[in-house]
Amino acid sequence: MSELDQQLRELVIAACKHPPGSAPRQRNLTRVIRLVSPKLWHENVPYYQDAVQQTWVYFCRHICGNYNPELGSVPTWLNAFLKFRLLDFRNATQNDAITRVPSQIERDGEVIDRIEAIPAKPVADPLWEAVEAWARADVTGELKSLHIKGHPEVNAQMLILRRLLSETKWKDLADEFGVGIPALSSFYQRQCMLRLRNFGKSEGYIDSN
Amino acid sequence: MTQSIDDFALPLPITQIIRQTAQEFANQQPNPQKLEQVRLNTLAVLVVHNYLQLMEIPSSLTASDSWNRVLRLCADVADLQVLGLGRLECRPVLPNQTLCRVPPETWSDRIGYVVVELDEAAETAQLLGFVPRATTETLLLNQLRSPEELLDHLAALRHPQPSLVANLSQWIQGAIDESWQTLEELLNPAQLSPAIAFRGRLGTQTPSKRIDLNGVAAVLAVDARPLADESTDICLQLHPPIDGFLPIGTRFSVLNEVGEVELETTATGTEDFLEWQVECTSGDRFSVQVSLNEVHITQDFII
Repeated sequence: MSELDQQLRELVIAACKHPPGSAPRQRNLTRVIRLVSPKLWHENVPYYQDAVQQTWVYFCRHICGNYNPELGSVPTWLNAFLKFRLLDFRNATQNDAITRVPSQIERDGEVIDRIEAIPAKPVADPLWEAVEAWARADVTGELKSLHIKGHPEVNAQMLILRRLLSETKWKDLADEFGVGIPALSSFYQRQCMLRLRNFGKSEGYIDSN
Repeated sequence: MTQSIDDFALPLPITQIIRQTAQEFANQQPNPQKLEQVRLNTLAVLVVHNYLQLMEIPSSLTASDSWNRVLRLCADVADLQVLGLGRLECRPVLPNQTLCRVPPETWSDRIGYVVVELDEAAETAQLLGFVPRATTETLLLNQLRSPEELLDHLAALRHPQPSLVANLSQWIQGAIDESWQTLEELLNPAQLSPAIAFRGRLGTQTPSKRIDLNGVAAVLAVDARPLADESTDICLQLHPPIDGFLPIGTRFSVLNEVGEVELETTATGTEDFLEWQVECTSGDRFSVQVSLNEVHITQDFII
């Protein structure tokens, strides 16, 4: 058995002495991921990293109890699992190909990925205009009334409008108003972001997972 | 420094769904600068989210500002809400960068800052490490602490210091409870050099414990030795965190059994460590208290 295999085996034993979610278990599992990563089987396929992620999920959930050191080293065990996942992905892709237009086409003898061949173009989103309109309107007058102590001109409305799309640099705002970046950004986080967060929630601008 | 980042960087996958989500969020941005910022931030947040799932640390994307479309437009945020603890900022860097940008709008309301290197060509990320606090716009990557210390940091936040009484008579017999590690495990090699740590009598195996002072990780080391007259000689040291000095104003006190301060010293920000030496007899009780601002951490001892 190689020195690495021995080390991995000890880390697994150490991890499994502690309950799931405990720091010593997490630390040892993390060390195994770090050490095994360069030893993982590699394939140049689009779903390779998905298979690796599934392998780590399986490893972290099932190493304690399911791994038998008599039957092989930790990298061997994980590579066997990884190859099965790659096979699953390959089969799923092939089944897909039967029922759907192939995602890869050949053009002038060159394989072209149809999806990647579509140029990604930014979708103009009117949301920033909605945010700007909301801040300008300041229906309750709250945004204008909230300001940094002693600086009525440095109010929430002004900061939201100037920081929209990160257009004005913190440094420039600090120079312009003679207020330090820590004071400006702290006010922005506590007052402006709180209200922007609530605006986003109330308008349903929260992405799903 | 202790280890280099290359030693502790943790490789993690960038899956297809991570790439798709990042591209989708990026495409909502109205200019190329925001597009790239949002894309990289989203990649970093999702890589960390997946890692925390592996570690069975629950985190919520939808409770994070990075998942709020309004805040993505108005701030450079890459936060991930760790359930029950708070927002962990996940900052992206590209390969070969030596520093990481930390936007001012992320300087407060964070439980820590994780730096994620994104190698998109290889579809892999490296969790480079973390710092508990940030107060400047640039963070040098060689200041990062290891991913394992991130795990300890999160655990310490979830379970504030257990105040178990440490029984020093049992220590002398060799029975030291599991919440104590050794000085060697908690300090870096520079701090362990004979010139610094062992000017006194402490050794690499001295029982030690990390103390979390609002994100500053100091180390308490305790050495107990029996004396000929049945009394016990105890040396207490408070070492600074791996990346610097004890914060100015850190108080290191010894309290008697009714909680009155008997000995107290305050860090000026330049000491290699703070130290007290006390002599006790069997049955004596005392406590060590470490305080910074409003945070007080107490460890009780019995002989």
